Amino acid sequence: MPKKNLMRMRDFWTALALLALSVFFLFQTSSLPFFNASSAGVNSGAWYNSAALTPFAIFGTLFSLALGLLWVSIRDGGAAAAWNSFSFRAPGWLRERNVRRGGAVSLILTLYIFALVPRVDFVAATALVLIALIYGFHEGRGRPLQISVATMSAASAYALIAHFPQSEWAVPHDDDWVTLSAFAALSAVMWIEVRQANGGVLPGYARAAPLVALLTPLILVCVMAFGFRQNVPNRTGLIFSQIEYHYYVSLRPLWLRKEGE
Amino acid sequence: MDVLAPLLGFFDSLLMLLSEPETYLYLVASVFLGIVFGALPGLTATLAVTILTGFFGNKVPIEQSLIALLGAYVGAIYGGSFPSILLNIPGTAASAATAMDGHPLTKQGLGGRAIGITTTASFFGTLFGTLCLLSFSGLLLAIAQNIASPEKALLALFGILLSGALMSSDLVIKGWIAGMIGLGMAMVGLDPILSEARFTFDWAYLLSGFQVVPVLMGAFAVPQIIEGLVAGRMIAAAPKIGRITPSAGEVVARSGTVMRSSAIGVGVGALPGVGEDVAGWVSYGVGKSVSKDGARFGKGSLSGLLSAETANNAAIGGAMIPLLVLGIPGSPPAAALLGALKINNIVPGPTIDPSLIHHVVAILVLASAAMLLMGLALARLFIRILTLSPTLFLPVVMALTTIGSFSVGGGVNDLFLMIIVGLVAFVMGKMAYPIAPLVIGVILGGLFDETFRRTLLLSDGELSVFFSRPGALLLLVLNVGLVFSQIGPVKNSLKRLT
Repeated sequence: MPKKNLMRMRDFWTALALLALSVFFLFQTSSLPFFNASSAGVNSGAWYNSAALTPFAIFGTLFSLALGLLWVSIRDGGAAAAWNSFSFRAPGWLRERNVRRGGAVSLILTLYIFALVPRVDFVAATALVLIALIYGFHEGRGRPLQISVATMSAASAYALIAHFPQSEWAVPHDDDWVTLSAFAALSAVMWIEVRQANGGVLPGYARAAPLVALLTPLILVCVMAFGFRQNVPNRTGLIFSQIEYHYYVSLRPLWLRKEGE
Repeated sequence: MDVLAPLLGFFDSLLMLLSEPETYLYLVASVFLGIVFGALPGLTATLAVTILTGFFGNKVPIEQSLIALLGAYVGAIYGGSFPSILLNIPGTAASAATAMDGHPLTKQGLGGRAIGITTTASFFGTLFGTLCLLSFSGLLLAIAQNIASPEKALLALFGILLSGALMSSDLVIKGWIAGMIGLGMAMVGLDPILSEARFTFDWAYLLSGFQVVPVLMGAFAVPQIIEGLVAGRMIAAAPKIGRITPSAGEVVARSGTVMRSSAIGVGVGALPGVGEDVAGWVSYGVGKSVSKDGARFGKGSLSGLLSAETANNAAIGGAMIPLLVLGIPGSPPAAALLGALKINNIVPGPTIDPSLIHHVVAILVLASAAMLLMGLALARLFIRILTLSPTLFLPVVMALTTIGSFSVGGGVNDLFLMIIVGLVAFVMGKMAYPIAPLVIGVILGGLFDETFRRTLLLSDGELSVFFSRPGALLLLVLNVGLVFSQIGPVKNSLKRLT
């Protein structure tokens, strides 16, 4: 299908989604007082004083623009193309290499942010995601991608299932250990698999990747916590809690003593 | 005395900056980092400024964080020229036009000469843009004092509409849809006049609305990371470039081209929401049609190279003018800068402290000097960096983005927001929706809502207030004209006329 037709076909579906979105938000806006606006017990009653005024204007405009897009897509054959290609089977584009790779990156990042970062020590979680992304995507082969996604999914599934509620995000550390083990296992698998794929030679990137994956979050978290004195994710995590403890209990007294002398 | 006041203010700021040792550290580090970001395909100037906003935005005094952000901005716009010239892969969108003549020069074995000219042209372009910022900001601030709520509302709307119209690669309507989605996102939280909760879905985090930094990180960083990893490893060998020569003489010999390109760069940069990439292409197009050697453009013309590269750096100063004077970003990196100012509770616009403008001008001058020196002295190092594959550095960028977004204040919820916005922006990018109007909509949405409703409150709901004030009427005509100019028959008529 020519690129323009494909784009118009996508525009057709997008326009329908945007119409639904704008109708949903117009409906949500209708729950805000409009002609009978009141604030702090004072009834103003004027439409121009309402918090709903601008959202009505914005989502009304979005609705109109979505109609315009729908019209353009129908005029340029997008609706017909969408109708002809409609099928209950998985569409062909899902099997395209870039779509699969895009889906895999999106999945890894989503698991990292939603499952690991809130629950698992930041250094362990980030080390795992870094090694998964480097190993999974550097050589462009399918097998590393599958192994990376599977490892990320397993570690994330454990963190989510074992400690779903927010009250369990900080402790205990079993999910930290699982994530660290996943990182170590993925590093080992990468070394073996990449060596095999490259005729018995381990490329430089694969040798350095685990070290880079571990050092990057370690340096970042220390700079942020002790350099900029900012909050960092999961302060009570397995590794960071130890770093913080030794910073305040072992290192700082030494410096303070030296300054005192 | 009044005429000299900006100049004295500038020298005052410059001397103050030069007397502080931290300045040198921030300047060298940020310009270097900016050039590296620009040189690495897949990382952009906007991303450099956005990531540094996460780190420096509200963690060091604003004077120092501005050095870091502006240094990275200047460095990244220039750094994008390295892969454009040497590999024919634009490092940033702003340097796409640079590749047109830069790469043919490399093929002819003149890569070093092209880099030398680009470095010098970028320096002159940045200085010209900065000079314009210093010269016009005082005058525009005086005019901006008369701008009230009706004008502000219409100006914010104009910024979103213009950005949507000029940044769209497919249909203009898609740019406007992106802008409206951004405006819609800005409606989340307590409304600015009655403190009525809107679209919070009983989630306390949303009461304060969408935070700027996670939205910026999501919109600009996450799609870049996904795109880069999907594209995979790039095997690039550093080409032989010959001697890198500082080419002030060659640039001065083409002073007409430099002046014209700088003026175009400043003009395009000053348009709300339109970035350095548009400036580069417009200047290149104009250069091709007016230059004596226009026929050689695209085949390794030095004038072509100068046209693109001078304009994209001059656009930096131009983009600062609407940002500082009106509070409306002139380019996507300027939108990230506005985010940094906002988290420091600085409201750019007519009430801005003029000394902040002088400070910005002084930083830009120092950053352009640092860029010139580093560009010439460390060019071979930057060329080596080009061979680094995105699949190795983009995961590290993800870690930077995550911790930078987390530390701004909203915690894990900010990360959730960042990744949702990022995935939506990635899908929108695939559907040819520009992301800049969305971000500008989020940033200007609050201003638009507040000023639009305040106008109606003060006029008791009389819409005629938008016609009775000359400034508001002019902006209304511009808004309506912009919308009508994109309607089929009108667009065709305009094309025939031009």
